Amino acid sequence: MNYIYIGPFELKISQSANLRLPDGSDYAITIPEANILKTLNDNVELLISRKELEAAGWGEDSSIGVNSLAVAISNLRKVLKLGGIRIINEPKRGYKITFDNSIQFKKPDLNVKQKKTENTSVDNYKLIKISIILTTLFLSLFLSFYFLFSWVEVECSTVFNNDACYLKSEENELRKIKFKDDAKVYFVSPDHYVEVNDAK
Amino acid sequence: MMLNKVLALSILIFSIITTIIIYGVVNGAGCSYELDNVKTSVNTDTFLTCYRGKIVALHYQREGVAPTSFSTWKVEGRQLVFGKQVIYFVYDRNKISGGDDDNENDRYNRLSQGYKMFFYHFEISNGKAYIFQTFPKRNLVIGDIEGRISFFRK
Repeated sequence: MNYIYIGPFELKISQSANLRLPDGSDYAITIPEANILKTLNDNVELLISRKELEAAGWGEDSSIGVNSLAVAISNLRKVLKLGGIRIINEPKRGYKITFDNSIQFKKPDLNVKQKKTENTSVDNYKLIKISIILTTLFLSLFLSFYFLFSWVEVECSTVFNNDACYLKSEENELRKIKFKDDAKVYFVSPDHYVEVNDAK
Repeated sequence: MMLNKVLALSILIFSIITTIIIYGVVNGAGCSYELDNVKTSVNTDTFLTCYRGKIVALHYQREGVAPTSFSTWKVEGRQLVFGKQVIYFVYDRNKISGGDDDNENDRYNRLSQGYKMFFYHFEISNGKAYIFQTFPKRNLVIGDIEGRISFFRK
């Protein structure tokens, strides 16, 4: 797809052709008309002969009508005058294109478009970063708390000259049992503990 | 700039936690032990083996009135080891024999089916494992252990 800027117009040529003004209005033209316009635009203010324009529009096809070029030029004039562009005919010499600078159309600011695109990609990048931060923090917190609260905390220390391993949450219950000499005690609760005599 | 610092910090924290968990998995993969005669209650016995981090346990109920009081459950999972803390990540728990009626063993295993991670503290002395647990209840179970629990602990 080709984009050609002709004065305030944007000429788009693909399967079909159309002219777009900066205000967004589109005007459909034929492919031969687009090619004629392109040729005129490549030679601004210069006279182009009928033969050259016919060749640009329809190639070397000799079957075109006598008025085909005139009709194409007429159609182009209708659209181009909206943008202050004129196609001037000099009898027996050819056609040329001129621009009327009194009509000003605001050209699309490419920098603004570019800045907008840059801002959008920066915003997306920021969003991705924030998502990664939230996900990693959530997972870190979840795993930390899960392990922390599920951890079986057992402390081993010397109690009344005996070695005792006990659930940390039951530390205060230890005094409720009677220790034998030279016994190691594995303690969960006063009702549930084991003494191992040969452990020490 | 600030956002980048927070991002780096959160990734760092997550990496540290992940590394710790991976350490537990790798350390646990050094296991090669058998745990016998674990009396979890009056009528139930547990036998457990661990090899290269995979655990297979059998829960038996063999006492009481046959056949409803007889049942066997097979449990499979992976173990993570952090020092004396042994964590079983259970991914499969099935009844492999026994009737439809519930007994103590069935009830315990059916309830445990709702959980995947089980935390224990192992104290080992003279071939005996003294296993502390806080879930489903505070308990101390004793079994005969033979072999290596992890890479760094015999």
